[in-house]
Amino acid sequence: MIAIKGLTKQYKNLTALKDLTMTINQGDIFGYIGPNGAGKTTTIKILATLVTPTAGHAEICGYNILTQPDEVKRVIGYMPDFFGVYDDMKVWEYLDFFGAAYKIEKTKRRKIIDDVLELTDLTEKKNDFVEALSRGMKQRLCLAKTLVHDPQVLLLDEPASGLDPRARIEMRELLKELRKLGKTVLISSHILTELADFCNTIGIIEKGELLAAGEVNAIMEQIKGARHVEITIRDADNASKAHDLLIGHEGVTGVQIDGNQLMVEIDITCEDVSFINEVLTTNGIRITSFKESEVDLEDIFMKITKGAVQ
Amino acid sequence: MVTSPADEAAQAAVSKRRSVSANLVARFGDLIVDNPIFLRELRRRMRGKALFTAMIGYIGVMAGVAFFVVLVHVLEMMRSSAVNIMPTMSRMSDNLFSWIAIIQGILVLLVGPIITANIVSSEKDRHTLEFLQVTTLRPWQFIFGALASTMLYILLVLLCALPILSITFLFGGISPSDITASFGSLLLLSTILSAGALWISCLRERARSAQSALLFVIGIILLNFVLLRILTPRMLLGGMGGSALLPFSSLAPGGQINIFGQPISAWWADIGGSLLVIALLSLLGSRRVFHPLNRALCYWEGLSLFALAQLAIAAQFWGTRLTAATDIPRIAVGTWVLLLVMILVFNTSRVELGNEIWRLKRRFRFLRGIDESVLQILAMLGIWWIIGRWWLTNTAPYLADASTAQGIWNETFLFISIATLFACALARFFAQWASSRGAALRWSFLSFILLFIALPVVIIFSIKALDIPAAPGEVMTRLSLLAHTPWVYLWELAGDHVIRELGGYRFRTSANDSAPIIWGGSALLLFGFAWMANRRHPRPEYHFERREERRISETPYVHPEVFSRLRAMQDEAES
Repeated sequence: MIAIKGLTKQYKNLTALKDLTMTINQGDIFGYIGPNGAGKTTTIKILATLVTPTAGHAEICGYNILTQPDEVKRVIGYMPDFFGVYDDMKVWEYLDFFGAAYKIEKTKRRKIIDDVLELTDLTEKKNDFVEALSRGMKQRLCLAKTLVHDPQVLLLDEPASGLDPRARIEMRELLKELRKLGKTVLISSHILTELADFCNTIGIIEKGELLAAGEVNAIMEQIKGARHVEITIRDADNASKAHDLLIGHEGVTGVQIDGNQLMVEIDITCEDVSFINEVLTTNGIRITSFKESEVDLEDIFMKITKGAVQ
Repeated sequence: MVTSPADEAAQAAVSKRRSVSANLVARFGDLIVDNPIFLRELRRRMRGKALFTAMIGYIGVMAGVAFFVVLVHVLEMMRSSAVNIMPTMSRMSDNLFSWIAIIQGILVLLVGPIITANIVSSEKDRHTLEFLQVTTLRPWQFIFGALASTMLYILLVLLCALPILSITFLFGGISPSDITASFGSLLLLSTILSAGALWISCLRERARSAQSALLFVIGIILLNFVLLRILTPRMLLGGMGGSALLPFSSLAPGGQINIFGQPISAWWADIGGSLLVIALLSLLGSRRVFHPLNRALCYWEGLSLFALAQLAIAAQFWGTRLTAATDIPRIAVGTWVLLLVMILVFNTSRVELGNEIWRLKRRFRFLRGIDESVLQILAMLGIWWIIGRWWLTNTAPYLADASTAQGIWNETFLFISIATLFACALARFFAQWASSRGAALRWSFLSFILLFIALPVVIIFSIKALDIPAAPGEVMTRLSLLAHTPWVYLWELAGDHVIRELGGYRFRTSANDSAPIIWGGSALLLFGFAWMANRRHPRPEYHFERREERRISETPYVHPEVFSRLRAMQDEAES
């Protein structure tokens, strides 16, 4: 759906993007993560045909961004991180304006406007002036504008930036709706918890270079090379005994003790971790909790990036 | 009634023609009625009380002026003892028309550009331009919508004064055709200035574009007052205009100009010239409206414009308009200047992915090794050769003495081509070495001025001052590098001194022995600049070859550096 090949952008002495290559499948929700100035916005702007790359190219739905920009514009919906609106227009006029700009037939526009207003929960505001809307509503209106031509791919650059917690949650719910509609979404953000919820693939970029990309778990496996199980035992005195029991066991690569808590590192090839429970209980060690530690996006991010900006 | 297959075919052809024309009309209708910019501007302007108040105020001022003019003349009639009041009435009518035309002129010439410039600058100030850029709205549709909505407003302003202007019919002296000519001229002039203002406001990346546009418009109007009859659209078609404020010859009916030897009415020349100027300014504006850093023209636009300019030259000097073959180099100066402008536009920028030449190179492998600006220059020289030869064979000097005219044309073409390639290499050199496109443009421009105008002029005046015989051959041997610049030759040829002295002059006879040195030196310099330009700029990475995909959802990608970084962190923790 989005095939990026060797994309590079050079501004005088600054390399904003360095040989970016990746393919995002149809229906994927791709979270694009990176510190400020990493090259996220540059990538999105190149994909949206707003910026010409210095080298490389990309295809969206099979259309080349360099040779078929008009076709690309038809299949993408772009929402920038910072945008303005035409304050002196009514909400429906605003959407009608973009409908006309996308050359949607006049007869079909009314129905489409109603649909996108309903999706973005702005139906009641249809006849209000844009200037009367709150920041969150304007953000939703911008998303409605992005959806007016029913794009297959959405390029969203920090869609929830500057929103209050409630508007942020509403925006997240809206994005989940879009996922259900089968849209392919490339969404950038540096608020990781925002993405962790609904992205199935992520890409981490720093100083214009892609550091990692793929499914969150798969990346974690590649980086860590092990799985981790957190165990809490009832009696802290048994911690060292548990350590000795587990450390020699096949598949266990390391055990760390912290009071009555054990962090067991297991080889990535080991599929079944229930043996830990078995070993400990048969040796009289009572377990109060047992869970495999979940992959944390923040953890991945912190491990991979250096925190450097350009 | 039985119809034959032939009749049916004829009917089908007619209905097809009708459907094609109906389709065209419908599409043109959509272009205006469904143009989002046009609609939005109309809605914005017509909404609220602002328009109503402005119109009432405007009509009030007009009525006040009309009242004042009539009052002055009535008082004059009351004071006068003349029995026949008709001459005074006619003068009153003239004055009323003139005053209203002047007020309308000032208003319309300022308001139109301000509105159009404001349309672009408000998009920039609001940060809404990016939204439009990602839609399928074409830049020319934006320009068209902005201009059309403004012109509709201007038309409204003009028509509002019609009831007041119709007072003049009561007193005689002014005919409806005068009012039509005045309105038409003002509308065309306002459109030209609005298109110019639109273009200027497109050049600026951010705000303050409207102010720049306004300054441009005021500058043009003032300049037109100073240089009467100079800045007129009809210049393009070889004519001169009318007055300073209304520079249209059509206001004085009956005028004619020759195009390709055919006399045409001044009306059509005015309208045609104006539309050409509007089209050119709109084209320039549409190149920059969404991308202010874009080149002024794309390659094919540059070629079309150059071809159009050649056709304009041919139209002007067709047939007997060219009196002597020795005028050919003088006319070629225009083309030479245009070629230098094109070099500044096209040769000072670096390789751009996705442009027309990139597409050509992508398709035709053999073109990949040739610099794109060289391709453009060669294409322009080719156009010049084809149109110029066609024009030449239809001129009086050629028909009288083909070989002399042909010889002068060939030599002129050759010298200008050499100088053009030289200038092209120079601009390319600056493009690769300068820090930015703007710097390359400035350096190229300065070097052109210095090499092709300033130094030759200084040298020629020095030669003249020292009373050295100014035969081109001698100039060449003395001036080495500059001697091959056609400016020197054209300057010398244009001077009476040389023409009178040499009579049936031909370049090569004068160039004599120094020719190989000049040609060799030019070629050496050309390749020297090209070599230096290439040395600095490595061969551009066009990325024509297919690259493997990286499907991240199937195989995750982790940069090798990440692993080494993690290992280093682990080692540090262990130690």
